[in-house]
Amino acid sequence: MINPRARRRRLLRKRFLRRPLAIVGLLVALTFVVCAIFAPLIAPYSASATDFNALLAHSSRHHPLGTDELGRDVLSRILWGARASIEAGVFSTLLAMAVAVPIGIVAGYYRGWIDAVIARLTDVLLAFPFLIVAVGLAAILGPSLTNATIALGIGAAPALIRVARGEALALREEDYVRAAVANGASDARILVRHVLPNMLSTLIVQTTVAIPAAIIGEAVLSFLGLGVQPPTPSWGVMLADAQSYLSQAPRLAVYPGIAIFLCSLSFNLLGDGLRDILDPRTTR
Amino acid sequence: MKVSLRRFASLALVAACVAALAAAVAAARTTRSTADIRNGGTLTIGLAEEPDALDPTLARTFVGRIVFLAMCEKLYDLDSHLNIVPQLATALPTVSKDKLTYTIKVRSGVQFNDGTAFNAAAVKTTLERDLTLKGSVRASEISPINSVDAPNATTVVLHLKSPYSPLTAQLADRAGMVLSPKAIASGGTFAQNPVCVGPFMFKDRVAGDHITLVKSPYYYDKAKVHLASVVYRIMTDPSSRTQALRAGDIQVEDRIQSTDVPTLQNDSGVTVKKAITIGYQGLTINIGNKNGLLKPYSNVGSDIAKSQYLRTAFDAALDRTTINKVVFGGLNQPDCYPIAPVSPWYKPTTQGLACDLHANVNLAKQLVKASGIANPSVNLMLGGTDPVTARLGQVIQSMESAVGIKVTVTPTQFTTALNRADAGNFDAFAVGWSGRVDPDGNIFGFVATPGTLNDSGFSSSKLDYILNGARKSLTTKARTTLYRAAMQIIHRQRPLIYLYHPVNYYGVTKKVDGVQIYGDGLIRVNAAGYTK
Amino acid sequence: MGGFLLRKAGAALIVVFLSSIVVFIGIRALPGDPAVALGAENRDPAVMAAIRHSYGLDKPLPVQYVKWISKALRGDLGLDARQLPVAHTIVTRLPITLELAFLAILVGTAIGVLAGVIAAVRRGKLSDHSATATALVGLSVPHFWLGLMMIIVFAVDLHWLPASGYVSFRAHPLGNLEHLAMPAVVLGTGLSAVLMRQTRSAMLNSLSADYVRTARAKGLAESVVIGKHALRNSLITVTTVIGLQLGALISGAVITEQIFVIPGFGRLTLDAVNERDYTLLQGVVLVAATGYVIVNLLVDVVYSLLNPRIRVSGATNQ
Repeated sequence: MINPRARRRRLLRKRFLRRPLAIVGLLVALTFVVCAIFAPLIAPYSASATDFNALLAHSSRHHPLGTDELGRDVLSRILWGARASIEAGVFSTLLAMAVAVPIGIVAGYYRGWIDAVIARLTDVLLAFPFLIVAVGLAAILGPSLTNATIALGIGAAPALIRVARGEALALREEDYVRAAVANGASDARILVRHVLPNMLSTLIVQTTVAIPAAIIGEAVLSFLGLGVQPPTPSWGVMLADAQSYLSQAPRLAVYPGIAIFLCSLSFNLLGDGLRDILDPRTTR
Repeated sequence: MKVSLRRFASLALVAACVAALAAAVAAARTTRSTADIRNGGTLTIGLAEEPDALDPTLARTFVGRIVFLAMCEKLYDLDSHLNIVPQLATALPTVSKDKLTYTIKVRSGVQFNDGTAFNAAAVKTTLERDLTLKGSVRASEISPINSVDAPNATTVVLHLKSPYSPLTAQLADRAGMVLSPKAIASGGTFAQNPVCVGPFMFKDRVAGDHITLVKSPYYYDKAKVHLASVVYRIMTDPSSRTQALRAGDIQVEDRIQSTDVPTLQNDSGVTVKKAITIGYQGLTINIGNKNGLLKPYSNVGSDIAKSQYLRTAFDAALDRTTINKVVFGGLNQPDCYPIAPVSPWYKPTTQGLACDLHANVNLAKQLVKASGIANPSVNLMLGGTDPVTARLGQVIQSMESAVGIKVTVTPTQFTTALNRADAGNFDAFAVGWSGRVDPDGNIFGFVATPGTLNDSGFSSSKLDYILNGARKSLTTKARTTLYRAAMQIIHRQRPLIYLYHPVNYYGVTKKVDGVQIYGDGLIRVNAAGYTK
Repeated sequence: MGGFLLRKAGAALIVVFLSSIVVFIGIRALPGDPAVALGAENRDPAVMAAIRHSYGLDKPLPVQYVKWISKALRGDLGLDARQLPVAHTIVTRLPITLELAFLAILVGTAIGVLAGVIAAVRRGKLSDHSATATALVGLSVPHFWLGLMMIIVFAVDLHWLPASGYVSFRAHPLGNLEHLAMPAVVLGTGLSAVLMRQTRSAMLNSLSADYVRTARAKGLAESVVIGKHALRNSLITVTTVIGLQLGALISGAVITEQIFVIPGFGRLTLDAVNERDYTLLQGVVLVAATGYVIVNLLVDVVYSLLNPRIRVSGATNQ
């Protein structure tokens, strides 16, 4: 007897395989993740290995993407930089999820004054432009990748709270939920067994949407000097360094930018694909 | 041949005319340079930082001094060789034998930029404000002044508590700027509408964006002033500053970043001016700052504080020439001392000391071993999160690792870094000083026990005695000897490791003439203007 | 309608009040003695103490808050580190960012809605795919990098546009637009990408709706069908999206102004934090938060005007 969940998973997999763009997105995203995890093994040089005799060198056999203003290998720094981006992108989103989903569910399910309070607090959070929050946090806690991740998580949370709330709001009207309530099931049981699993697909889609925004956000923060601190590489830091050399060596600004773009694009493609296959109106 | 009288006369007439014409042309050529500048026009200057309050009593930024140059004349000024010359005063001060009374004669027939009369009473009012206003930054600079008298309209008499040779130099900076008593008394915030004596007067200011000055109709020498107005635009990003100069959005660029200097030197529409400054950049080592600035000092116990060998090793591992080349494109002036080579004090006070601009890796390694510290480590705090400072940190880290010293770099926002430095919360701090004409200004505050900038927590009674003596003595010879002794102590103990003197590069469009920059690094536009 | 508005306005007021407290406490939490921030090269302890006293930093927190908020309500936001009135600085610099945001929304809406409508109408064809692909690229590209690349190409290489800076519209209308052209495009890119996708999906929804089929069956011209519905749905979508994207727009303005050196409100915020200019920062963030809440309120009102269902049921997309 095939379990309905397994059947659904098979259907989703089939749909996914029919979408080449989504597959490309998945593969490229995975490549970045692999690069991030295995950077120490893959990168030909360490990220801070300077070579004062080969400053701003063009591409060569030793340095496929050339060297930067301190003689460091650009390719290696791009690979190492993937760590900061993937870490910030993934962990900040997970943090936002972990905070936002419970709050949103509670707001949407219970409604009433809890909902009103949470809505106002969310509004307060939203009233401050994310960048200002991040700058302030970096100023209070000191600039670092960890603090940038926290700031990004806080920045992404309000939108996720709203999504989770919307989902919970809709799901509480579903028949099986009402039935469970009528049967006297406890709130916790209902939320965990009925509400949460059914919003999973929406949450997954939101995750793949939030990650690219967080990747770009980390680049912005590092660019402004509020995230990863040199000499640890990050694509944003590389862009900041490249600004002074825009006329001499514009390539130093091109490579990290392309890296951010491709990484973000791959997650977006993946997200689009997932949203498409999870949409109940999709037929193929 | 027989020449008729008439022909001779006509020839002579022609010759005379030709001679007169030649003389006229020659005369015109010599006065051509000033006639070359036309009157009118707005000069826009791109400043690298924003000035703070436009109130000389409260002002603290280097960049503010640039704006003051155009709108607030001082008792004394500096000439191109950094000698002190009179400006609103008419001569250098007459000092009494006991060195406690300074008599200064000031100009007459001069007006403030609100039309009121400038006189000795105004100088007295300003100096008293500098000494007594709550929050005055000038008070500590002229603290030895006990009282000020203005016996007549052109004479100012200063009575000092104790001898203080840096006084005249202080009167050649913000402490010597004279403010309009009417503006002070008006009750508003002086900084919102500053009035002094100057070729230009304040018009308006938008925070973070620009400051506008216009030509003053009250200035005593206004015939020499060509420009109709001067606009100082705040442009903190060095790349966009250069772009703006090249595009003609600004005519003068403050402090071109090293990576743009070659480009601008090749630009045919721009003149690049160089000013070797009297400031320095270096590393402050926390030796005794355990409890905070001006609290009791005792050795903090870090690797680098404990061991003089390690500090010397740290110094020997640094290749100042390579640092200059890699971080600054070779444009700064590597050195080992707080006083800059452009200063007349440099040679006599550093005589007999050795400064090696290259690294001595072997010596450094030996010294590390001799220090007896296994795996020494130093945390280097950077006073900024910009890319240039980051480069410096990484190069230092790289060089120290070659001799076995592990350096961790902590880029810190500037004011936070100052806080931490004052609190003693650091091992080494990469920071600089814009420099003062008098050697006291570059040394006392940093290494004397009562020094208000002594983040190193360095305390040597011998050095204190020497520096106090140097403040009190008035002859150059005596002071030179004392400062040489001071340098020897500093060079041996290394509370500060000096790396280089900034050489500032400024860009001026060829359409403008008369912009001058001296070793104090300040942009002077009072006689500047557009060429015809 | 009246009750709805009142409820919304009340909520907005609560948010502004809470925001002001968060601003106040948040800034006090910034490390570093503000007296040192104002000290630059001179850190004489006597001077520091005088600064602390003149800024009221030695009084208890609630007292400081009350003093600050009561003055703020009267329009007095205090003096910044340069001794200039904060309110004056904000009033002078805010319109610049508003102009930039307006241009960005104009650019973003023009491109996004147009592309979205075309993509929906020509669903499945090449124009749909290319528009969708472009939107995806627009979403994935980091704006500040786009800005840097545009500066290299259009300013440094081609000299078509100025690399940075700003001139007021009143002084030089053409120059003003030249200076804001690239920033507006950079800032509007993200908005246009989101708008394109939302417009396309909203259009697709409505094009398959019953009343459209009826209109077609009735024989109405295709252009009328598309025109009427495109307009109506676009407005709703545009309003919703702009409301949701406002935060991103403001954040984007901060970094866009940074790269293009535009003396606007966004950069003011960043500079104030970096300089630890507490008085300025307090005033700026308070105004930003209040402004954001007000604009959101306006967006909600406009949305409810366009979508009567919301008014009636009281439910919102909040």
